[in-house]
Amino acid sequence: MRIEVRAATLRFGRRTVFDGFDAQFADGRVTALIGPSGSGKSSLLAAMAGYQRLAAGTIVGIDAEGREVTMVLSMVAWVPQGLNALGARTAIENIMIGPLAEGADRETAHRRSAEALEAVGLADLGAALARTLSGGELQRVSFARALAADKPVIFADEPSSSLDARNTARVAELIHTLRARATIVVATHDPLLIEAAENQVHLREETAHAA
Amino acid sequence: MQRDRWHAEALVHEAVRNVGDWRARLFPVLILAVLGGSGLAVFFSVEANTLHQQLTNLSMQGRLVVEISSTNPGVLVKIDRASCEGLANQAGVERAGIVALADRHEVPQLGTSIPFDAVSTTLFPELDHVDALIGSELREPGPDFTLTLPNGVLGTAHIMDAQPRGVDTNSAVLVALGPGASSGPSCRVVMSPLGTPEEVIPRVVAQLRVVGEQPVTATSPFQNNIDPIQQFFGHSSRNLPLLLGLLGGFAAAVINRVRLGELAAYRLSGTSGRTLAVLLALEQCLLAGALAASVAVTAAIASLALDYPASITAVALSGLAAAAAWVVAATVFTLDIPARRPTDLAKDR
Repeated sequence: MRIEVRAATLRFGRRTVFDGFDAQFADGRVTALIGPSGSGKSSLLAAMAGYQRLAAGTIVGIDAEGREVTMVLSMVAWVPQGLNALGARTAIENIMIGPLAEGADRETAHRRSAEALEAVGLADLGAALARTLSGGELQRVSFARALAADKPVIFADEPSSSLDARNTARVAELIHTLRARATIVVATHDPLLIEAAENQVHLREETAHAA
Repeated sequence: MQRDRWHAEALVHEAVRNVGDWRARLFPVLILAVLGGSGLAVFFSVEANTLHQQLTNLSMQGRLVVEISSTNPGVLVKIDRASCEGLANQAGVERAGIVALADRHEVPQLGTSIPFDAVSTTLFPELDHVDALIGSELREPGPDFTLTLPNGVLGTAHIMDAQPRGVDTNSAVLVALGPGASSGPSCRVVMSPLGTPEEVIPRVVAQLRVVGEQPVTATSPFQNNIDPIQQFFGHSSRNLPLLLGLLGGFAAAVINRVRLGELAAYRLSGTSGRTLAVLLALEQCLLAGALAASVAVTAAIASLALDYPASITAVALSGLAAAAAWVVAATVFTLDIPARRPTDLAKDR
């Protein structure tokens, strides 16, 4: 699904975060949403996911047949900034939450989660408790959860913010391998993640261009 | 509005794992619920046992006994026997009847000059089954035996339990009042353990028929004004279930705020705010249910160990009250969590 942001304006009180912003996020590709801290990257992701209301402008999805569809939360899987997981549960149980929320039975959810865990390179850690995983491994579990949810759109909000250089490189590698699996938008200012993306959207410049 | 498609059984499974797994953050709260429930049941059981012992002691001191006789001690009255015995059927009355002091006889098994009293069988219902009742001070407890009654006839005798003050028959042999006796100088009433003298006495006095116009009055051998039942129900410990439930619910809500990252994981995986609210409510119901079950089980166990156990139903109901307070408190203190944006939950973990 392609996502189009049209003349979007976001304000918090009197502060205008961005004004008249236009951008496109290509279908089935990884796009890095770039901008310095406070430029509104996370807020734009939240607006595209339906969590955040715009002051003006629209955000629409364009499906494979070229039809405009309203972006709703159920289309989006979210990889959060930081490490959010059920610490007392195994990696695979954490991932199963996504498919279960989609109505899958436990068997199907387990199968899809195992596939997603393999896709992020953690096939052998499925039975490990989340609290015993490293930050990088947990971030990959978050990506696996998003993949297992089988949503057309994945938003990753500063996925390397709490990772060291080695784990950031692993996440960058992972993002590279996930291309074509969904429309992926990664809000970041990390050079490694930017390099792993196929497209870039610069928020401060209020322009969108292919990398 | 975000929608999801969680199956109910999958959601229940999540709630059970989030509460019952010993590694889960809510597990210490589950332990708190079980221990709190046990503590509550033990407290109420011991308290009830103490009350029963207190009531038993006070009963032996005549707390429940009333003697209705002439207002003027120098003037005997004739209280109609039928009306006195009829009081035994009144609400709040356990037994009632007439005690007619008779004469003394020698009884080989008991001694010489043993007082024989003729009493109403409504005051001593055991006389419906035996011919004589032996006061507890005359003989050690033992099996029924045969003795010669004053009329020379052999009869079966039963050693009765100690009688309270006001029914002073512990050193006498009691036989049933003959059919010819139609009145007596006084009427003794033993109230039910939970009967209140203020309510029962005026009612029974009004029911009595007195031959002649002599006024009668009710006196009790018990002169203590302390009402242990009123004290029991007025005690601040009655609010303990509510307090325990509120504290437990608050503790659970605090833990929920510590596990915002976990709850964010649900929300960011496609779980709607409404479903998260259901999950949180299920978790609290499990915790509160553990509390209520712990109360009931402990009360049942305590009932085996104590002489006067509390009513398991009453203690279990207090456990249910605590559980309800728990769910309400936990819900009120976590109401905002499902309503918050998932991304905010993730940041505030």
